Amino acid sequence: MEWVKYSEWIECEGRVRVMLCQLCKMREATVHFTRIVNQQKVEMYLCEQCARENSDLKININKLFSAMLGLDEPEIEDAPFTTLRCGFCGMTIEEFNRTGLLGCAKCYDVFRDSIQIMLKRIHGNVKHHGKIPKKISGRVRDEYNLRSLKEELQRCIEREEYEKAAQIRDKIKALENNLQKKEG
Amino acid sequence: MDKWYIDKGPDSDVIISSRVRLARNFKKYPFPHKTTPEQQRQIIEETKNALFSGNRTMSENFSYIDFTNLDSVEKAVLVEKHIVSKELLETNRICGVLLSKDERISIMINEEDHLRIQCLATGLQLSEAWETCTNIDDLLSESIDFSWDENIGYLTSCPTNIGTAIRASVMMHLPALTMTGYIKPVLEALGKLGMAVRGMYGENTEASGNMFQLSNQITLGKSEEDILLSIKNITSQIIEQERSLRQHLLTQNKYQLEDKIFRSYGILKNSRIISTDECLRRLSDLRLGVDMGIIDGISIENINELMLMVQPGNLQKREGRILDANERDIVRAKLVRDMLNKQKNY
Repeated sequence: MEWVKYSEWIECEGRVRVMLCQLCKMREATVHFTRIVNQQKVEMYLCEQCARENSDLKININKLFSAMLGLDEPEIEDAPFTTLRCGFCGMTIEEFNRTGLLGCAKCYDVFRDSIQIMLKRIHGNVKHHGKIPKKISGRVRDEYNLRSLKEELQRCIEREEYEKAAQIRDKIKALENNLQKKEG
Repeated sequence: MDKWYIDKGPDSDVIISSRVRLARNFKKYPFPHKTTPEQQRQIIEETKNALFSGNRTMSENFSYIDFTNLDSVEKAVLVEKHIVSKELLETNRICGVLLSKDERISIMINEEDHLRIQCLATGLQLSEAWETCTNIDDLLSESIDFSWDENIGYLTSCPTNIGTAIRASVMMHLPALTMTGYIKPVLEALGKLGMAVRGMYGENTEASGNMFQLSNQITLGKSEEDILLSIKNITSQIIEQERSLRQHLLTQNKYQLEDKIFRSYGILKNSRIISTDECLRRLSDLRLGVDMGIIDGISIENINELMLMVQPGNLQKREGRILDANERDIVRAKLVRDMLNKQKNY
C-alpha cells in the first residue's frame, strides 16, 4: 500500500498505526495536503494545529471539517485532504463518514478512536455482552464467561438478590479454579 | 398460499409478526462493499456448503435463489414478503438468498453484511424466532470463522450493528393509537428507550395502514436475551394501550367507529380503482372491525392474505404479467372485491 512507505509511521498502543505531523513531529498527522508546485506533486501530512497555523498552505479548514463530517464530497482535482487510511482494504475516514460503513474487520482497529466515540453515543456501553461463536477456544470462552458472571454478580448484589448472588459466586469460583488448573 | 404469513399468531389483534435477524461476516473477507466479484461468489459458495454439509434436513429444507437473473417482479415479491430487504435489490454485488421451504427462515448473502440470518414468525413470537436464528448461526459457525472480538462482539459493516448484531422487530397494527393521536407521544417515548420505529418495509418507509415496525437500536453491551426481553416488555405495554383505547372508542364513540369501519368495508367491496396506499388503509379499518367483533364472516387470515396480495409485486405475479400503475389499481380493486364477496357477508 502506498501509505506504508512513509517512515514516520509509528506504532501506537501496538495497534493503530499513526503518522506524525511533518512540521511539529509531535502530534498525529490527520490532514493530507497535496499541491502542484512547478508541475510536481508535493504532499504533506500535518496535524490539524500546524495545518491551521501555516496559512501559506491556504488550507480551508471549513472545507476540511465539512469533508470529515461527510457534508461535502472532496473534489478530486483539488487533491484534498485525506486522513487515516486502512492498509488492508483502503478505507479512509472520509469514506466512513460519508457512507457510515467500514471496509473490513481491521478498520475497527485503524479507526478505533472515531468508532469508540460513535459507539458510546449509540450504545452507551462499549463492551460486548452476548453470544460467543461456537469455534472460539476454551480459554477465551472461560475468560469471557468469567467476566460476564462477575458483572452479573455485581448486579445481583445491587438488587439485593443474595441467594442468586451466592450461586453465581460458586460458579465464578469453579471457573477460576478451572482456569488456574489449565495455567498450572 | 398456505405459508406462515397467513396464519395468525399470539396477540394477533395487535401484533402481525415478529422477526429476528443476525448479521454475520466472514473473518477472511473484507465487508461486502469492499469485496471483489470473485470473493462475492466464494462467500455464496462457502455459505451454501456450510449450510448443506452441516445438516441433511437443512439441505432438503433450503433452496438458493440467485439474484443475478431474477426478474424484477420476483424480487419485489420477496421484499413484500419481508424475505429480503430493499437494499439487496439495489446492490450491484453478486447476491442471493437461501430460503426455507416454509419461507420463515432466510439467509441473505452479500447484503450490507456477508450474511443476514433472519427468521419470521406470526404474532408475538420473538423467542421462537431467536431460537431458530441462533441454531442456524451455530450450524454455520461450525465451518465458517465469523469476525468476532471479545470486546465489541460480532463485527459488522456498519458499527451501529456490532456486538450481538441482532435486530429484533415486531410489526404492530395500531389503529386506535393512531386515530386518537396518542401514537405521537408513544413514538417519542420509544425513541428515548433506544427503540426505533419505522414503517412497514423498514428503514425510510412510511407507516402505511397503521402498521409500525418496532425494533431495538442498541446491539452492544446487552445480551441477546436482554434485548429481546426489553422489546417484549415494551411491546406488551403498547398492546395494553392499544387494546384499552379500542375499548374506549367502542364505548365512547361507537357510531363514529362503526361508521369508519363499515365505510372502508363498503369501499373495499365496491371500488373499481384503488391504490396500494388506500387499500392498506381500508384493510387496516377492516382488520380493526374483525378484531373487535364489529364485522364477522371474515377471518384475520383472509385479511393477512389480502394485505400481501394487493401489493404491486404479488399482484403482478398473480396476473402473470407486468402491469402499469393504473392497471394495477384496477386489478387490485377487482381482487379485493372478489375475495371479500366470496366470504359470508351482510
